[in-house]
Amino acid sequence: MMIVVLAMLLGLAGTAMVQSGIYANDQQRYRVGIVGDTDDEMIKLGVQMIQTADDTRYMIELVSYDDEDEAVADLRATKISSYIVITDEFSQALDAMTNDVKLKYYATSGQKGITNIMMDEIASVAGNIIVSSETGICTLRQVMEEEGFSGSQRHEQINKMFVVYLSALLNRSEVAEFVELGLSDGLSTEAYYFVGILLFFILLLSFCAISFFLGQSEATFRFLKSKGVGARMQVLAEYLAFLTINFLCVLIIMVAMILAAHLGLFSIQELGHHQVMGLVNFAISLIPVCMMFAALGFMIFEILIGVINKVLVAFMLYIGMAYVSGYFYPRSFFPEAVQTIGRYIPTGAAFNYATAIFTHQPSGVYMLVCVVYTVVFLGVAMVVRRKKIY
Amino acid sequence: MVEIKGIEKSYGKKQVLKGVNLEIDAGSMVGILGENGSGKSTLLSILAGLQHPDCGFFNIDGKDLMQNQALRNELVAYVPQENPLIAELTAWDNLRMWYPLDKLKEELSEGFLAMLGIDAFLKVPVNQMSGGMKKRLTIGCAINSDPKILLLDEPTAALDLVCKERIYTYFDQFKAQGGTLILATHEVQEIELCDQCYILKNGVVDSYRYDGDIPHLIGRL
Repeated sequence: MMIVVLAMLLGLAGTAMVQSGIYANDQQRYRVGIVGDTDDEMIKLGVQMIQTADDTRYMIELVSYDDEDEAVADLRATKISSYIVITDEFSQALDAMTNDVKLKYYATSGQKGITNIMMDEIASVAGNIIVSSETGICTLRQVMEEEGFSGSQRHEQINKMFVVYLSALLNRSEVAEFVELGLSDGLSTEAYYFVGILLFFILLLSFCAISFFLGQSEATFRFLKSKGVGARMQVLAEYLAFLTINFLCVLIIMVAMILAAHLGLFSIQELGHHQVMGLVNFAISLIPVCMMFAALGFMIFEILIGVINKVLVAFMLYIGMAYVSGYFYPRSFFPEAVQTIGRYIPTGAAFNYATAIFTHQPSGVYMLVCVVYTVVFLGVAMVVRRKKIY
Repeated sequence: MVEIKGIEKSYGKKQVLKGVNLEIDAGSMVGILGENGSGKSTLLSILAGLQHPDCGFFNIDGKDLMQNQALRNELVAYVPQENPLIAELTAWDNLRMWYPLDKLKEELSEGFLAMLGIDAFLKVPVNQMSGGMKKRLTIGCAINSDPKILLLDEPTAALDLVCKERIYTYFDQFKAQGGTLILATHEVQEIELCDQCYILKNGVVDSYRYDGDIPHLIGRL
């Protein structure tokens, strides 16, 4: 029954999103920043093409920046997916039809896929310019013919012009140079994957304590109540035991990670020179997240009936929540509406909190969100337990 | 003296109890009879504090137990129909949840727990126990506070004769020490042991004296 209700709710939410057009407006448009002068004729043509061509205007949105620092800040804040720097040298080289200066394309490492798209787009722009060059060649031939030049003279001049175009455009084999900044959702690549995967494991750890919910009967709850242990105390006592198991599991994982860091098997840029101490501090900071995830698991297991239901629904829910919160894939890839949901659900709150810890940003608000979620989940569990008793 | 006055309980529009009144002397055993769904378990759960009645009183020696949850927890013990024990734990562990160590050892050597024969299976996990062992252990856990009233919901249903006899012996001892037993039951053997029986029908109780005439009893239910 609970699965059906959950499926209906998710279905309704999805349908509402699609129907409202939010998804269509937002769907997978890569926001690409352009830093520098775009007044150059050739560049203006390329930008215009990207913004108007049917196959790209739904895919790429260009955002202009005067300053590269602004673009980096927006990239860090995941407002854009990548940015291109057009230097004066590049514009001049383009005008001079030389091949010695390249565009610089900066992308986060989580967004390698966009590199291929940009290559295609740039190739497409170059292709269109060649069509224009053919028009130029035809025009040159017609003008020379009208001015009375001989066939061999015309042929020679057209060949020269064609070679110049070819050398300037077709031979420009590497139009852009791609640079990875190693950023994903505000974290370095290592930190991003470390945080995402670690949080997902902590989320899954609630399954380690599922045995608490096997064989529990309502008779037990009633008996406890008759002995003066009400729903609130029952839930708090069980949650404490449930949380202790989760803490132990997290401790085992963190000890393994700290050992690996100590042996130099991996390092995280954000932790600087004190990798081990950084990880120890991070492990301590994870307490609110553990509490929230344990409370979430506790609530789900309290609401659902039957072991298969509990495991299946919890797993499906965890995967979905982790996905939209950016545990496996940078959140910036999702439509704005999904990003917003992913940011505020418990998994998103945990990710924001962990990111703030790693980047030494204020994390108090995110910790408060985790605590509020914990209280809400336990409150719901208490209400459900009370219903089971009566 | 245990007094139960005007207890009413409704679930939505359905009124299950329409003013239950009972007066029970200390040291007696009372059986509540009735068909399945007649409200026997509801009455016991209200007396045990699991549910709130719409109205009514539950007093012992003039003390209002409905208004004093702590006193009720001390004076009233409840043994539900189903097994409420924690299956993964042994008998000892289940008992330790409710008894201080000294008291538990004392009860196991010469108290009610010894009388129930629990000391014979202290190390057995609940999920490896027979129905009779579970029921005896449940009673053992329930009486940790030396209660004056013991509420039992079909206490010997599906138990073998030896186990039943052991539990009935305990009931006699409990009564002899001034305790009051209130049972919801279908068992003829238990009905015969009761000092007084009541039939719960249409939300009210009627006094009934069992004289061995089962067809007559069935007719009254």
